Amino acid sequence: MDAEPCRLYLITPPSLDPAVFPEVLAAALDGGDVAAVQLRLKDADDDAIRRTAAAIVPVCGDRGVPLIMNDRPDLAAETGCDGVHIGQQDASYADARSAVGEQGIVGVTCHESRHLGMEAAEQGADYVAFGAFFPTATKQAKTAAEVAILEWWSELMVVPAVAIGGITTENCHPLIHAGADFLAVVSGVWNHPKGPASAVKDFNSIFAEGR
Amino acid sequence: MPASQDRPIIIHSLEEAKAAVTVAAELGLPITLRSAPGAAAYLGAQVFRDMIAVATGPDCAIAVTAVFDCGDDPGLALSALRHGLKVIRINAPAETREKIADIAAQTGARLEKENAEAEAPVLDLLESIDPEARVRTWLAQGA
Repeated sequence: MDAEPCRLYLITPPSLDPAVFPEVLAAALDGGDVAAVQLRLKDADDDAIRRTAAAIVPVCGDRGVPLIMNDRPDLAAETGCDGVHIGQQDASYADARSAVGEQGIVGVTCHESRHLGMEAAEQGADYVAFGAFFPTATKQAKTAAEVAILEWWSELMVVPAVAIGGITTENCHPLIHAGADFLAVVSGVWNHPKGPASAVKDFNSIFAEGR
Repeated sequence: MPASQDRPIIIHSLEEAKAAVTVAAELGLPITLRSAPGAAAYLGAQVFRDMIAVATGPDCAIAVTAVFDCGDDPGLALSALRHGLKVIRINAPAETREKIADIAAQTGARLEKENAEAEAPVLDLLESIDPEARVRTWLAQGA
């Protein structure tokens, strides 16, 4: 089992106001260690994505936190993001790698599939994402992943695994114990009762407890 | 209060807001749309207000109650009132709530009731593949 501590991979809220979000993001990042931020806006047009990226690139850059664009290799490159995250229905791995270059980060959604994970790793993905792990009453997941896939992956593979889907400070422990390298969190941070910075701090306290 | 308004729906995006309003209109039911908990901090009152306005459109035939969740920040609640939002959700001491409620009343707005409304079951549309189907089922359960 990987002895490296698990880390937080923060995904932006589905909708946000670029005028106010940078300050909120800065506060969240100052709450504790965050390995990466993914810009994922659900139904924003390209200009809105560009504006938001422009607003948060410096926030992440100043703190040494890589910013990863969801779905759009073209916008990732254009806006100066550090990488791109692609799904199975988005751009191909080759297109993503070509857009962000060899030094850029390319992550791939692999749902609950070991096969997709191995395929992405063989192609050169910097990380693979498995999920959703918690299809709770508040969330309808596209796929339902079992924690066992993280155990299997961490024992056999070197490429880091990101766990995603309904993860909160309350339910994250099994994923950490199973070997997830990163926990991708959305509402578990942004809608945390004590606020995003407290959520980041709490996640890091849990990570510090070890696997 | 009609049963469907006891069945609030948390929306995170325009797409989800549109889906909820579309289904409610089809069913001819009033609807309550709520932002995510504490969303005022990152979403902004103006964005939420515009999201609801676009989702309902000029010819909406049903009553839509939009509730903006300001977490525990009275400043965000006041900002939301300044931007014309009419129902605010705020977690604050009674004395603070009273003051905000008074200011809200002066603008024709109100705070969400602490118990009955705030603790009602809620449908969260985050990451839904088919939000319309979920809203249809949710509202039917309350009909």
